[in-house]
Amino acid sequence: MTALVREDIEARLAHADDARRLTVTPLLDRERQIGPGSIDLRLGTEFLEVPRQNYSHIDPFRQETADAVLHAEDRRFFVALGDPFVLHPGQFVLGSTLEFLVLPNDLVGQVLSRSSWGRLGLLVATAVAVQPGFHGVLTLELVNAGAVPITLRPGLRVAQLQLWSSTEATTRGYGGSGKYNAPLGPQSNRLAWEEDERAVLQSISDAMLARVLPGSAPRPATDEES
Amino acid sequence: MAEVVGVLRNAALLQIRQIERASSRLPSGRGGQLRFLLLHAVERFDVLLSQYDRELETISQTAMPEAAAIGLRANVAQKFERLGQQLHVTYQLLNTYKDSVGRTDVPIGLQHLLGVVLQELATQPADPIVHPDPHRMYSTKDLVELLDELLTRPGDRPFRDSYTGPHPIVFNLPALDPSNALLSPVIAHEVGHTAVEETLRAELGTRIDADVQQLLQHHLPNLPQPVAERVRGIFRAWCGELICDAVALIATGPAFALAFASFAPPGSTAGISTTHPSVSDRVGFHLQILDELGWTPLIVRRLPTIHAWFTEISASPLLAGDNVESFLRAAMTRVATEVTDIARGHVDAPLDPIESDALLDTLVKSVTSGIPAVEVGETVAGPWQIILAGWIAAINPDYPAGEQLLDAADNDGLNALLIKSLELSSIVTSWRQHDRSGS
Repeated sequence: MTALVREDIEARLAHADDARRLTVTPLLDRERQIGPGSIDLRLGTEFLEVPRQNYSHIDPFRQETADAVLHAEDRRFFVALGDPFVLHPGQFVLGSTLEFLVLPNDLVGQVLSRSSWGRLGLLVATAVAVQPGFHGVLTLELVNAGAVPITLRPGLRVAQLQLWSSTEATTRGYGGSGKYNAPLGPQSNRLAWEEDERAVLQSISDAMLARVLPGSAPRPATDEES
Repeated sequence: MAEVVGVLRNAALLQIRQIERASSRLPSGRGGQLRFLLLHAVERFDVLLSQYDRELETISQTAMPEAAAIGLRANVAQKFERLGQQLHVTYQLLNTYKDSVGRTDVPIGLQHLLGVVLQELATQPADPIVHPDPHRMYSTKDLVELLDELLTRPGDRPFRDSYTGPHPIVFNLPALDPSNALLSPVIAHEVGHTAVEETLRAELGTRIDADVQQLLQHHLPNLPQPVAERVRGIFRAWCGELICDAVALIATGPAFALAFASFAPPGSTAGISTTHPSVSDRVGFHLQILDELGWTPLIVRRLPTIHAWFTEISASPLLAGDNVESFLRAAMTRVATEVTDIARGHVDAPLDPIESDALLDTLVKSVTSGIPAVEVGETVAGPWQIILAGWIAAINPDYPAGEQLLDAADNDGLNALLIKSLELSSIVTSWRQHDRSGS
């Protein structure tokens, strides 16, 4: 794997071959956004917030709880470019990058918070991996870990994307089915959708319980327990 | 009677204060002008209330027979009742739209599109209120005009003249699908009704009234006056639709014709609508205008099956076959050129077929790849170019045209991509304008 520097990034953005071209759209200020070894990404206009009230906890293994907490109560809202949005201490919202990215199958990326924001207590991304073949905007987990409210504005450069190239392109790049399924705004939690793994872990848990307590029936998950 | 008048008066006062309080609490943001409009209306209500109070006082202080005083009080009671009805309608208006002021759930791309439509077509500053409506599909309403109709009495200074702020314009959008980008050109037609129809129809009338009268005599000789007036009324309504179609076609290009055909598919019954020309006649009118605007080569090349289908629809209208219909269709044909001419004079930034064609290959490729269509080289795509690219990307010439229009309009993923494209193109445009201005 080789890290891409400015010249590599520029070359990839202009690559004639669709299969090897890196797309970042829009790049509002190319000169400023493309750094020596990364691309600055801006905060997008769409946000997703999960209200705190009415739920005691989140258990991603309990499908109905996860759906109710993580999706049904989501509040999706929009803030125009340059308009203020105040993130209070301890508040957590999902945002997304303004830029829509397309990574070719031989590039992999990582999104990091820009340090200047981190020093204010704003966490933007916890080393988000960007898989080869990714299409869409990147979801950013915004948390104000500081003690004072922070006014954010869509369009601010809040994150940076580092890229590495491999000598071979993967044949199984990341991507959903259908050309119009790329994420266009923040995506909520998908842990609960990994049904097959949930079933495996539940089964192992039941088997271990059966060894300790022979004859016991598989435990039904309850709200209290989970 | 004195007690009844007092009750009516106090009920009106109570409702005025309710409207005032609720209006003051309306949020700022998009549609926030509604607060100022309603508070302006409250001032008007207060003036009326004071005026009626003075009339009551004069009756009390003037020596007159009891019967005369009762009669005069009854007259004032009627005024309070009328005021109560006006307040009731105002209260309903406030209640209907209060939750649509300062909405934060409207995608930026859609907000931008509505702004563009108002900028291109509205004749005065306007403030959009986005209202997902469970009953109506697409419509627009200028709330200043609505209150003007409600509040201006004969001899009064028109309410609309006394209000000087931007007009709150309600965009009623389908509640279940408010952000349908492909159908959005219909909004341009609806804004035409609100913003320009009256003016342009008057202008059209001065040009064609004599000819239309001749046609009426030819097709419907010796028609009784009330019937003739009714037929002319239908024709006026049809002209309004044609004018707004022309405005939308000039501003948005073929995307309006495509949106219209999927929004109002050709009907299966013959007969005259008193409000709209038949779909087949309108499709024919759209083809004619698009041809005059220079769009035909592009449509034939990029959307051959759609062009063939539109031509077929317009050539086979379902006719009732009576003389009224003959007159209306003949008159429509007669005015088509003038309608286009007048509408052209009103649209500041008509969509250009040659400029658009130069961008479409790249834009369509982006959309087809599931990537927002934003820029072509240094050129930022305009909103209607993006919508047209979306239509072209969605239509496969190997399949029946009509079904594809419906399928495309119903494609959530495609519409979301187009709304995102509209957002990003507006952001790039604003950024570059700011760069150029050097501020």
